[in-house]
Amino acid sequence: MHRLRQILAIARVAYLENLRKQVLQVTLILTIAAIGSTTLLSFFDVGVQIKILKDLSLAAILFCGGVLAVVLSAGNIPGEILTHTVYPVLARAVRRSDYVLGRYLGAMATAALCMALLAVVFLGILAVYEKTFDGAVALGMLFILIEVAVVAAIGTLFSLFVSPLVAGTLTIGVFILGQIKISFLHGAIERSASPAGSLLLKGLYAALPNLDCFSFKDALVHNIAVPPSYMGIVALYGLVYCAFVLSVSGIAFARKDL
Amino acid sequence: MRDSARSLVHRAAAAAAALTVALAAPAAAHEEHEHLPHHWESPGVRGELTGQTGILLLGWLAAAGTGRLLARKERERC
Repeated sequence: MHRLRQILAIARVAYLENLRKQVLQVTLILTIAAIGSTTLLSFFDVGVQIKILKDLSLAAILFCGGVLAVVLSAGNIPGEILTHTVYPVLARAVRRSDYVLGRYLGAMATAALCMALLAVVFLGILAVYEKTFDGAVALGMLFILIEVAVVAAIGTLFSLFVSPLVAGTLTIGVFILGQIKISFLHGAIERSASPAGSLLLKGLYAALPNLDCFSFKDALVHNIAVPPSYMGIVALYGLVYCAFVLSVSGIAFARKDL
Repeated sequence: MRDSARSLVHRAAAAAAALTVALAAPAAAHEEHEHLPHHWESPGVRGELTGQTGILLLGWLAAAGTGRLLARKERERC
């Protein structure tokens, strides 16, 4: 109970720090503007317009989520080390792994708040067109949040080994390659003629998270039913991935010479 | 003040450019992807996800055990 209180206190401070970041506010405003601008395509009939609205808005929200994950995770702990604010916290009886978890939860709380704001705007506009609340789209956005959580966990791990700039770049790389893992990398392995290239691609394939599994954009746009059991597997995969990466981050931070 | 405003404008411009590219890509690829099987329809993807979840779960348990061991050593040293 005492440990949980410590983790939540660290998370609260991280959350309040993150809310002041300008890049977060700018990204949020631009994404809301992008979602709002899709309503200007009034020359299509309503059915097509709803499809375009869902497609572009979900792409914008995913992009915003990616930016949030990179911005919030890459500088989360190195920034604290740089400003020396980490030392008074660790001087108390706080486990280093708890500190990593607290900072990560603070970043995720900020990301969740941003996603909730975007969801309100997007679902509000959608409700005007469809004349009903689209629960499937809300569920789809929850999976985008899980994807953001996975990317942020990876960014947190990278930030413990390299500088924030390099960690951010690597996280962007993982975010982009993870999106095309099944749709592109799988085919590239099959098409690869050289054994060395194939081995390299297989290694990359095994190391990358399956981020494209979190995207149900096509199903939401074309109203295709997705088996609930599959969604359960994907959600479990995301949560276990986060838990594993954060555990490794906790060990890395515990062994780090501060 | 002016520098801050200029910096904000630069960041907004960079984010707007990136957002345009991100939005244009799925819109352009929309027609091609429509003919490919979806990931939730593929038994291979489902099996791969289940297998990876199992491996990650084992990895998590191992990492959590190692973390606890390190914390105990740290306490003993103090």
